[in-house]
Order: sequence, then C-alpha cells, then structure tokens
Amino acid sequence: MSNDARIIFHIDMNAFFAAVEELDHPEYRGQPIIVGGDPDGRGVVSTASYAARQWGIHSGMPVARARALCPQVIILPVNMERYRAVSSQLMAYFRTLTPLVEPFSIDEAYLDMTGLAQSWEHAIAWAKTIKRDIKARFGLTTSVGIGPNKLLAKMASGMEKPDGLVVLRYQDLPAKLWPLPVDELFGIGLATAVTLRKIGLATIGDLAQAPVDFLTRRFGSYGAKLVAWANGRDTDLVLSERERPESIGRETTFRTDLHDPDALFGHLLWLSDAVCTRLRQERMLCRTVTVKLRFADFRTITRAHTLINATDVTGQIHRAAKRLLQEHWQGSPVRLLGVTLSGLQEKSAGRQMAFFPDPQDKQDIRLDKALDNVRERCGSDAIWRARYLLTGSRGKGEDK
Amino acid sequence: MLFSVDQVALSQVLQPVSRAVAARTTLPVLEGVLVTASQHGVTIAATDLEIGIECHLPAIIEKEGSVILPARYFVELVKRLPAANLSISLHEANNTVEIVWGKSQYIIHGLPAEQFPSLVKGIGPETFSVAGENLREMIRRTIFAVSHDDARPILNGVLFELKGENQLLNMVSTDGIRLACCVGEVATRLDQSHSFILSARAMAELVRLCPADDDVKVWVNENHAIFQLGGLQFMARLLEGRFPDYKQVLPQEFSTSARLDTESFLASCERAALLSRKGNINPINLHFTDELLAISAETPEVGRVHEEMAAVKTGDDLSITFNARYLVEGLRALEGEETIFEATGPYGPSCLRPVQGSQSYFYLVLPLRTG
Repeated sequence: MSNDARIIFHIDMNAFFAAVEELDHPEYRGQPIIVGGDPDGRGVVSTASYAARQWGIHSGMPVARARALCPQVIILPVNMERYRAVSSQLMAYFRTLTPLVEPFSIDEAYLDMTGLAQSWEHAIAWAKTIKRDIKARFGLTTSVGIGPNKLLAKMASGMEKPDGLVVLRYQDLPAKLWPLPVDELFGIGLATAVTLRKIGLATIGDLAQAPVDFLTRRFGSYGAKLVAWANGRDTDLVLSERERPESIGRETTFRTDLHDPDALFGHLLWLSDAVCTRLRQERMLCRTVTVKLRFADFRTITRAHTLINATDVTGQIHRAAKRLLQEHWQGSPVRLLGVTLSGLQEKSAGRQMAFFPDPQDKQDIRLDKALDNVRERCGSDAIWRARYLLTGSRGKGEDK
Repeated sequence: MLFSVDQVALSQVLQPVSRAVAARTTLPVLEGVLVTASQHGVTIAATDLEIGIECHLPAIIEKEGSVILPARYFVELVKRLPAANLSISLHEANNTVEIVWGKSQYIIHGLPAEQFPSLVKGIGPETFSVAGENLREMIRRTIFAVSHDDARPILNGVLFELKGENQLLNMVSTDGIRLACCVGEVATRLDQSHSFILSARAMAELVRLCPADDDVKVWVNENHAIFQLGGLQFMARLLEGRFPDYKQVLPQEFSTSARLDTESFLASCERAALLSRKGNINPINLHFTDELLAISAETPEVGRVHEEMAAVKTGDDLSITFNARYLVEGLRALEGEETIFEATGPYGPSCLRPVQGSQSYFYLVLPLRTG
C-alpha cells in the first residue's frame, strides 16, 4: 500500500499520571488532583486531572499557584516508575494489535493500522474497540486520532479531549484543521508562530495557502515543511521500537598483559558495573553471565553461568563473574577480559520474587540506584567505585 | 582370584554399578569397577566419591582376590558376550584379568585393588527404612524443584528430615523461587530425629534404583547416607552446609483459596504459556473471582490467550502473575483429580496441594512482581 493510503492511529492517554493515581487511589477519583511537586507547594504541575483543570489548573503551572486556584486540590508526588510500568503494559497491548507501534512518549503512541482496518469506517470501529479495551483492562480513558499519516492522526487526537475519537482525512482539513491558529499545528514552536502571525499567517489555513518560495526565503527548507504540514502532508512512517539487544557485553584489552589477580578482579568489577548500568538503562534483566579471557598466546576461553533468577543488580552479576574467573583462571597472563550478559528479558515482564534473598542484595540495589542517579544527571564518568582508582581500571573497554 | 559366573547375572549387576563410575576424573582408579571375589560370592563396586554403588552376586569361587578393571572396557565387553558361563581369573603379578568363554579369551589390564577408595557400608541396625515405592514418589515430587545454580550449592540438594516424634520423613527442595515438600511415613520405628541433605544427582540415581515392592533400609552417618536397595548398596555423600530455614517462609494463613480440577488447570496453564514468551520467562496471569478462574497471557508479537474455568473460591478476589514454568512443574508433581490453590496475595507465596493423596504434599511458589 502506498504511503498516502495508510491508516494511522495516534492514541493519547488522557491526563495520564493523574489517571494512574486515581486508579491506585480510588478515594481520589473525580477530585481535583495534581501530580508534581511536594505538598509544601514547591515545583510545577506535571499533570492535572480533568477535575483540577476545571479550576483553571494546567500542567507547567507552579504548584503554589494551583493551590491558590483550588485550595482543596490533592497534590501527589510523581511516581514515574509506576507510570512507566503502566505505559509499557499499554505499549505491549498495542503490539498485540499490530507490530507497527511507535511509542511517542510515556502516554502516547502511533499505530499503523493499515493492515487491520480496510476502510475509515472499519478504522472507527477498531478505535472504539481499543478505547473500550483500554478502559476495561487498564481503567484509563484515551483520545484516539485517526488519519492518513502520523501528523494528521496526532492533530486529530488533540481535537477532542478527554475520551475523544476524531478522524482527520484530507477532505476534512478545510473544515477541521485550517480554522485553527498556526501555533496549534504540530511541529510549530512558539517563536515560529509569532513570526508567522507577524507576516499575516494567523491560521493553519493561511499557512496552507501561502506560497512556498515566500516561506523558504524566510525559514529555509523548514518553510517548505511548514506549508506541507499545514496541508496535512507528512511522509514519516510509524517506526516500531528499535530492536532490543540480545546481549550486552563489554571487553577490554590491556596495554600490558595482566597477571596480578587484584588488578584483574578490579577490571572485572568495572566491566560488570558497566554492562549492568547499560542493562538497567535498557530496563532489562539478564540470567546468563559470560566471562571471556584471552591469554598472552591469544588462546581465548569463554565461560558462562546461568542464574536461577534474572537480575540487573551489579553485585549479583559481579559475584557470578568473579566465581567464573576464580574457577577458570589459573594465573597465566591475560591480554583481554570481557563480560557479557545474555538471556535478557524486559523488566516489565515482571520480576520473579524469591525466598531466602541474599541479605547483600538490598545494599547492592541501593548502591546501584545511587550510582545510576548520579550518572544519569552528571554523565557516566561522574562517579566511580574507589576500587577502580587502585587498579587503574577506570574508563576503559569497548562496547560490543 | 578365580571364579566363574553367569554372563547374564554379571551384566545385570554391571549396568547399575557402572552409573557410579566417574565420567571426568584425574584419578584413573575412579574410571574402574572394583571386582572382589570372596567366599560369599562376587562384589562389584564403583564410585566417583560423590555417589557409590556396590552390588553382590552369587558365583562359584575357586580363589579369592580383587582387582580394579576399567569400566569402559570390562562393562562393555561383558554386555556383548553371549549368555554363557564366564571364567574370570586374575594374574596378580601384573593385575591382568583373563575372561574365558568357550574357546574365546579376553585379557584386560587392571589396577591393584588397594588403590580403590573404601566405600562406606551400612553396618548394624539401619537408621530408618521406607517403602521403595514411597521413596521413589517422594523423590519424584521434590527433585524437580532443586536449584541448578551453584551460587548456593546447598540448594542443589534435597533436605531429608526425620521426625522421631511422629515417625515421618519430610523431603524438601527449593531453588529460592518455589519450594516442594513431601511428607511420607517411615516403615520402621525411628529412635531419634535426623536431618541431612543429598545432592540432586544422587537422588536422580537413587530413584532409578528404588525397588517397587520392597522396603529400603537407610543408614546415615556424619558424611554419608547408605541405601540398601535389594541386593545393591547405594552410597551418597551428604551436602555440607545449612539448608535455609524453610519453615520461616511457610504461610500461616491464606487470603484466597480455590478448588480446581487439576488436569484442566494444568492444561490451561500450558496453553497460556505457549502464547507467552518474554525472554526467558512465560508470564501468565490468574484472576480469581467467585466461582471463576480466568487465565490469560499475551506476547505482543505472538498474540494473546484468555481462558476461563470453574473454581470454587473462598476469600478475596485475586489477580496474580506467575512464570508459567513454575506453576506447570508444580501441578505435574501433584496427584489427584482436584487441587487446592491458596494465595497470600498478589506478591506473596501461593500454595498448591492435592485435595486427596497418599502422601501429604505441598508446593509453594512465588509470583512475578509486575508493574
């Protein structure tokens, strides 16, 4: 099917964070809720429930101002981990419908429904089913926009909130899209909108009819894009999420062959730390740890260990890697050392609970969290285990 | 050493004994079987130091003596000989054994018997005894739940607990995710309580050797357990270390309880697992409401499944997710038409047990924490 005969859905979860909080706290249902900031009234509103919006509260507003508008507003902290979990369940649900799912943000996704919906009427029926399904399975309301491409689907979902269902075909543009002010067109920032209005293009319709060369003189190639967008033209395809890695590995070749056990074990810790950090960034768990050793004579061995329970805890993986190294390294000089994690699974699939957990785990998890936090904010080189300074294993190794 | 023996009888003894021969070892003697001729007959023994098997068979002894013969050659050769009387003699000066059948002659080089490690034997009154059939069932229903991760070697074994006060044998295994416990009766009076741990490897060999219609006598000492299985003695080294305090994780009460048809429940779980594959795990969701259990699973790229079955439920409604494998393996170990499923909540242990059964059995399993 050619590009302009596609049927694309944009699905937007209405007031997502607030809706999830209402699910978790049924007692707040229907009340004005804002998510963001702390009860002391600092920070800004991340999401406001529809009940809160009736009081004039909107996202981005300082929490203090929201409380001034609506003194009884319930202020909840952001529980991103929980929203992410619900989001990944939603995305998983979308993928049961079509493999062409492009998560656009935590609460939005594009679905290419061309294969499933043979007509616009059929598409509407599908959209109703999906809305009903999401309501029944997740307790959430959605706005679904249907269009021949991502841009129009996205514009359509924004036209009816909450609980909307809008179809925006090319023939609908003059009535539904063009009367809107230019700053509502997806892809147009505040500054561009100001400039456009200054040159007399106030509505999307004005922009759609403007001469392309006039705009390219003003905005360069972006100008041509603006006109195309205003005419509902968008060639972007729905790109399903990039492939998840099958394994995560790192190895390092030493400048001089290593035979000092302390140094070798130090490097092993560094490599374990590096692959586990990456594993957690991917939101995955692993079950198999492989250690690779290349000796001075280029003889290479790999030895693997499979854990009973999948993990992303650096301490657990490092201990498994260390046992492998202790068991299989007899002391001959090492040229290259590598650690690879495989048997990967999405964290969202669930974490297997365990009897008799290692008391060390709790401490390890806390340490991982602290390190990840610093690294996320300040970069991966911001913090190191003191051990690396002693063994000189800092910052080496290549991703595999 | 000189004796004559029936090929069929010798071969029948060599097959089980050779299972204790070490597969990979740096000690050549462990690759052999010890053949001993004494006034009582012939004894064949093998050990890899973790397990050992010794078996006795009648023979006409003309001269006593003993030798170690490489299992690879001796066992395979005897197996291929025709059913006939074999004459076996040892040339002591060079540990060479001659096997003669009719006009055929075979020479195998052996090792001096003194090099063979001595096998611990069950001497004196046994510690306890148990019906072979019972022991076999108990092993079958616990062995599958042991850990295969050598990070905690103690979990690679099955715990035996003998209670002097109630004449019961408990067998417990766990890999840290599920826990199987089977309780059976002992056949002879116990004087005192004992507890020891045997490796899954030893259990797997033991279950093959268990007689169906005879009691098994068991001796337990500091380092070994010895099982008398018909004419065969099986020795297993005890695992060292402390088994985790499993009683601590046994739930005191359950918030949901449901009665289910075992076979349909198992079949449903297996079907749901088929359509659920997320990396290494197969998450399936059980949703209990009054009189109904809904089993569902989905894999984005594959599809989804939703099944419903009758369940007589008491207590709270429950939605709980398991890795299907752990449910399926537990259900397979149950016997009886009906199963009781009990749960402590979506993030606590659940318990499966048969409504009726000859042995008291339960299987505890932990769910997946989702979301």
